[in-house]
Amino acid sequence: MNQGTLGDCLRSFQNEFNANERVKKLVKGWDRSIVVEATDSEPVFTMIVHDLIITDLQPGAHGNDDNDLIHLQASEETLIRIFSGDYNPANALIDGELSVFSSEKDKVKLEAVAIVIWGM
Amino acid sequence: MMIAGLSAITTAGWSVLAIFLSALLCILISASIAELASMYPSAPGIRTYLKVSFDDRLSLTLVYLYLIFMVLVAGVESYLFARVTKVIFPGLPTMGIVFGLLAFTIIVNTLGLELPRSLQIISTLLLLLSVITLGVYGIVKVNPAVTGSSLIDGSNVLGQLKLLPATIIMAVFLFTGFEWVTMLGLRPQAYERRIPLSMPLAIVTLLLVYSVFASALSYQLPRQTISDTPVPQVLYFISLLGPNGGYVAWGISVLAIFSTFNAGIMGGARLIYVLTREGNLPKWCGRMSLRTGAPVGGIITLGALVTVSSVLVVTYELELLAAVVGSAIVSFVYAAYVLAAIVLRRKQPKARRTFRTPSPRWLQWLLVFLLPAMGLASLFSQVNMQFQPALTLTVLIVLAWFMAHRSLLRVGRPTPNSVKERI
Repeated sequence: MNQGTLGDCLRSFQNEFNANERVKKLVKGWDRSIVVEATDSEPVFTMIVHDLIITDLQPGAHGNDDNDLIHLQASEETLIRIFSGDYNPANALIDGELSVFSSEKDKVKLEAVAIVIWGM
Repeated sequence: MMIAGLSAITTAGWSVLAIFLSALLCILISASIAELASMYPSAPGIRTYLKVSFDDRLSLTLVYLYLIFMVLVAGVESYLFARVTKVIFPGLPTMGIVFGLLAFTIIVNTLGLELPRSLQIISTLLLLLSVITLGVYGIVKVNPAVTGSSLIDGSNVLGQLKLLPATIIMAVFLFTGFEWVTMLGLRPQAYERRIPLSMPLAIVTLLLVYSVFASALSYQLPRQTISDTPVPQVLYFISLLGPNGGYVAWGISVLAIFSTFNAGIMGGARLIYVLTREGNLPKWCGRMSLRTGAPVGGIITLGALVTVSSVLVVTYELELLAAVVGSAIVSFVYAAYVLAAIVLRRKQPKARRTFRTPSPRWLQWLLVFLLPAMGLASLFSQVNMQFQPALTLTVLIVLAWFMAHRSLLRVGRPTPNSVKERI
């Protein structure tokens, strides 16, 4: 797995996220920096959610405000499966394959986004 | 109520010793839980830790047993709140108060309403400080009608020692819930120190509160009076403060409802949600409000179960039975946590652990065997209950096993994990 694979997956997710009108309703007033970190390889990315869309996907971990930062950790393969709609993030959390460092409400919001984009 | 239960079988001094030793046990258990949390940070604790450590049937049985425990405890707490409320409003029906409390809690949580964080902290601090302050006051201002202090009682030491294992497990009931903090880490670094330290700190705080209060009760009320009521705090505050003491007892109960009772309901609802996401429960149990994030299905399901539990507790006055059985259940679950930490050291020796329990292996194994043994002993500690607690626990274990069996059959059906496969 090379650095481009997770990055490509997240770019594709960004496009799906931004194109979905129901997601926009869900993330109204919800500006966040979402750090996506692969624990078994180097890739770390930060998705910036601002004004109803993911405005940027930056390499590296960014964002300092504790209240607006969400940190996801998993193996690269697991992250790719999650952001491809191939692995339910709630199940990944329960299975211990994914860690989500955020408030409880933000965890729920992330799962809600997954529900809206891929349906469950 | 558990302090009243302890008073029924032992003296105040031995109760305080049991509370102290129980706190020590819980601190040791918390170290294992902290190690598990560092391996699976932010995971829904009991479900994940037991799932990765044991086979499906065993782990699910334990999870359902824990859920049953939460239902029992909520039923007892709502009944006790009703008993305290009737001191202020004696004309209100007990069942009406219970239904009112449950309805209020269910509606508030379904709507996703919650107290601001600062208010939660203030109300909890107020609760703790009130109990400690009024406890110390009760120790200082001894009731002259209570002849001699029963806190230090050197009689029948052997008999008291025999009861100690059971009283320790009963006292564990006072500390349960400390493990729920493991889901709350906001950063990976939190699982290196903050989360592992927060559990023993919480336990020590509760140890102080309960020890002071258990002692203070004995300085204000005769032992028989304490054990004769499930809400001795009411008589305590009346003895200390006069007729208005009832309002103080009620005020403290209200503060407790806003914190611990509500947290218990939400914790149970989230556990139901987690089980549903895995396919172990029907889909409607996992309904979630996308707007507020409230696990609506879990709240309503748990609310219905707690209502049944409350009706049974109120109708047949089963509060002490429920508490004794609950203590035994929790002793099995806590033993499972410690065993899970041992098992994962073998299964996943190279897995990332940002915290390791400092307890030596032999001590962990001792806990694994001691906790269930003490839990079983506690089932026979209440002389007037004879075999009721043991029979009740047996029925509940069979029920939990059956639910696990049904869940495995349900999950065994072709249910694709991948959404795209379904499409």
